[in-house]
Amino acid sequence: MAKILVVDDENALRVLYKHELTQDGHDVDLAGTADEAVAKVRETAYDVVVLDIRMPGKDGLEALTEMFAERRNIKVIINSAYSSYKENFISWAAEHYVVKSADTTELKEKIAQVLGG
Amino acid sequence: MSGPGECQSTNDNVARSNNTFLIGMAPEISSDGSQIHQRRAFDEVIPYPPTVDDLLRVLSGCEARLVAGTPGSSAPPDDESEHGRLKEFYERIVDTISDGIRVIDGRNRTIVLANRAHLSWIGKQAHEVIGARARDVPWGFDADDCPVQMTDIVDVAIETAEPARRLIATRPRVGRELCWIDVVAYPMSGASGSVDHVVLVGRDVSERVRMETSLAAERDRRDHVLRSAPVGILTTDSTGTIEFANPPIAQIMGLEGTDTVAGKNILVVPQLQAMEIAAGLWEVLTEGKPLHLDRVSCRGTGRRETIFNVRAEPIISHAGEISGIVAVFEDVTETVLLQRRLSATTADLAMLSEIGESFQDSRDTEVILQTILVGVTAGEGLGFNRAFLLVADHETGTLRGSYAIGPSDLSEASRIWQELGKKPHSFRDILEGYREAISRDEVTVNKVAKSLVISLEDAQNIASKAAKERRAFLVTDGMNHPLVPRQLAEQLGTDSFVVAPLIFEDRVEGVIIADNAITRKSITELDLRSLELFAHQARLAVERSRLHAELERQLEELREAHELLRTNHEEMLRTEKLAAMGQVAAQVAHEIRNPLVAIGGFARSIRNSLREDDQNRKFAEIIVEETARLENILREVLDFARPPKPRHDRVDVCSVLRRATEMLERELQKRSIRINMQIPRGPIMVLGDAGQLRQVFHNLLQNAMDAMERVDKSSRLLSISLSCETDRQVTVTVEDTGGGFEADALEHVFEPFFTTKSHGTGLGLAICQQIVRDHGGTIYVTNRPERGATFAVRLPLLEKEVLNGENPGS
Repeated sequence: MAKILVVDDENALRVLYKHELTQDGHDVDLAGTADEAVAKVRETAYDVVVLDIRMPGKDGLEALTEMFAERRNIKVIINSAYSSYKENFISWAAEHYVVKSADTTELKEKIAQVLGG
Repeated sequence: MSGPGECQSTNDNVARSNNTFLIGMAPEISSDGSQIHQRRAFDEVIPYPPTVDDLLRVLSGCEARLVAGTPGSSAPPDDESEHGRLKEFYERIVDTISDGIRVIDGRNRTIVLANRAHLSWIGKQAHEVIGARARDVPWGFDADDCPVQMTDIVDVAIETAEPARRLIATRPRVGRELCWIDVVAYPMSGASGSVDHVVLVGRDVSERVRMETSLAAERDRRDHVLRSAPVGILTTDSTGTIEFANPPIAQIMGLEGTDTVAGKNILVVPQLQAMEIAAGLWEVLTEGKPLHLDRVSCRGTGRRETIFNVRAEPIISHAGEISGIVAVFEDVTETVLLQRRLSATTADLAMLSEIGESFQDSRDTEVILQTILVGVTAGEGLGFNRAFLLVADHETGTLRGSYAIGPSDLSEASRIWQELGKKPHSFRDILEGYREAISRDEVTVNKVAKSLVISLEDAQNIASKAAKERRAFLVTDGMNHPLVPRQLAEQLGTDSFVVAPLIFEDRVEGVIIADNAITRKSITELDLRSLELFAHQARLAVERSRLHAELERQLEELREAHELLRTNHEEMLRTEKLAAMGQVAAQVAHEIRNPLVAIGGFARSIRNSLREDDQNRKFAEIIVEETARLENILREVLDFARPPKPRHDRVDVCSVLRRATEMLERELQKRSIRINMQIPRGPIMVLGDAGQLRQVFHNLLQNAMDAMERVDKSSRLLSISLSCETDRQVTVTVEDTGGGFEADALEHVFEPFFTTKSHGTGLGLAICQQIVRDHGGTIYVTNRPERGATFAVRLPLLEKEVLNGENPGS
């Protein structure tokens, strides 16, 4: 049981992740934009943030920087459609990089990993 | 006197009818004067004009009859009157004769009778002549106005009692041109048997003489023409005996004169037999068949060959019989020899052209030198007996005999030349034939060649002089030539030869010595000039061919450069195209991805919420699978559009390939595909990204498996091999038995979005190519139509130094 924020500009995906993760027993918050996500992080101490990168307006990387500014130890899992960003993610100080997929198994494993670690 | 053609007045007793002359008594002439009836006194019919002989014969017959009694009269003759009448009758008869007649008393040589024609000729009256001495009355005057006498023949006639004859040229007393009179003196014998009278009969034969003269002149002219005709002319009579042969005949047959053949039968003239035309000429005579022979050769001993055309025709007489032959011999030696020379020249030119081609073909100086040597000795070339090649060695400063072409002696020569003469040889054949002989050291000429070593600096040697002064020399008296060492002449075995330098690209390559040591045919200045010309030609040809080769080489370089440019340009276009496509693809993929993840995610959710036996669970499962496939495609597109940079690790290709194969093992079994795997234990190290390389091998194996779906299970065989042909690269091949590509598909297999599968992105091989290139390698495909395709990946090996340096312990 953890407190998780899912950030994605696609409403359908937000609904999907909330449904999936809630089923696993997590407490899931959602954010549709970078600003909304940063605001929520400022208010709540989430155990994990699942963050999309490509978003209209402020993108995931800017959001990431701001989140770290709010909470130094925040744990973020990048969830992107682009596998090509993977090689750079280490420098972003995120915990994990998951290629966005309908199969949420990998994502769930990473969350478990983060929570377990 | 009148000519035979002129008709005198008709005498009563002499009637003329056409060309017969009837003598008889009392002819009756019809009232109109045209029809002549005659009572025939005698049966004698004589031709007109009557000859004296005829007349004498007739007259003597008359006399006999008269003595016996006048024909047609039964009255007894009255002697006195009858005699006078008879005399007068004789005289009248004699007057009718157109020949001049004079009768001389044999004893006192007085004229006893002269007829009208004779009197007219000498311009006298009868009474002036009768009883006069014959010598006082000349027959006329000759060209010098001398009186012409007949004393001589009269004497002969009296003495021999035989007629005597003389042809005189005379003219009558008044006017008139010189005429020819044929005078015959007929002796008349009296009762005593001795000659008591001489009858001189003179006939004007001017016409005949003139005709004979002109005929003779004509004959002379004809003979002259025949004699001076440029062709040989020969005529025979009906037996084949040669009647006439003009001087050219003697020339053609090689005779001293025509006398040796004139009068001989054509069958026995040896020259005609030697020419094998005697029989032909004989056939003309016997069969009447014209003979036409062209280019008959006649080669007398010790004289040059003559060639002529023969035309022989039968001579047909008025009676239509063959009365002989006329044969014409036309000397065509010059023409034929000229033609031969011309064709020989043509052959020479053809040979020179072939030699030129040989030069063009060869880049090898050695071959060129051999070619020159053959050209110098070939009959169709310069035709020398032997040719020696001395190669210039500029380092040691010597001309060294290398090899030679030519027979050792006359018997070998005749054998070789006969062999060559059998069929027309092209220059190439001859060259090939000689190649072998050149290489044999035991050949005499080669031994001679090898023995020749001359210092290039030797100023006293014609060979080094030729090399130094770069010109050819003709030596005709080698034994006494100041620049021909005795040794050289002895080595060559002849004292007549030519020396010519071989200069290529301004460098003396050597000299050629050529001679006619076998046939001993003398070498002329012309031969020398031919050799010089030939050497010059050879030099030009060599330089031209080398220039040509150089141009070819440069052209080839340009071609390659152009090709490289073109390839680079194409590559650039391809890259640009790919980049543009990649951007579009990335955009599209990203837009699709999020909805796809949502669809797939909810489908999973739904599936998981349904019970195992719920039919909708199956449907949801299908959605899950299909979206998973779409996601996979999108991943590939995005990977291609923004390919990750390969890592540069040391990678063992063997294990990567094995790993890629292992991952597909279950699938291979499922599809009953047999594997033939030849992968060495390794390690074989390359620098690169193991993950990407695995993806390459995975794609290739996956493609091969998919390709074999359409063929029978029993023939599915996947061959995987890894080998290092060189120490610089490793090659991985993946071979299937899926039937291969269509020819037009083959060139597109590496293009993005090109696919032969019913499903797939068409990016797999494009990605493979990109990864392999990023690794500095190449990928290519070979097709075995109806059988299968083979993909090969070549990767550069990690250099050994690097390998060793990084793994000092291994």
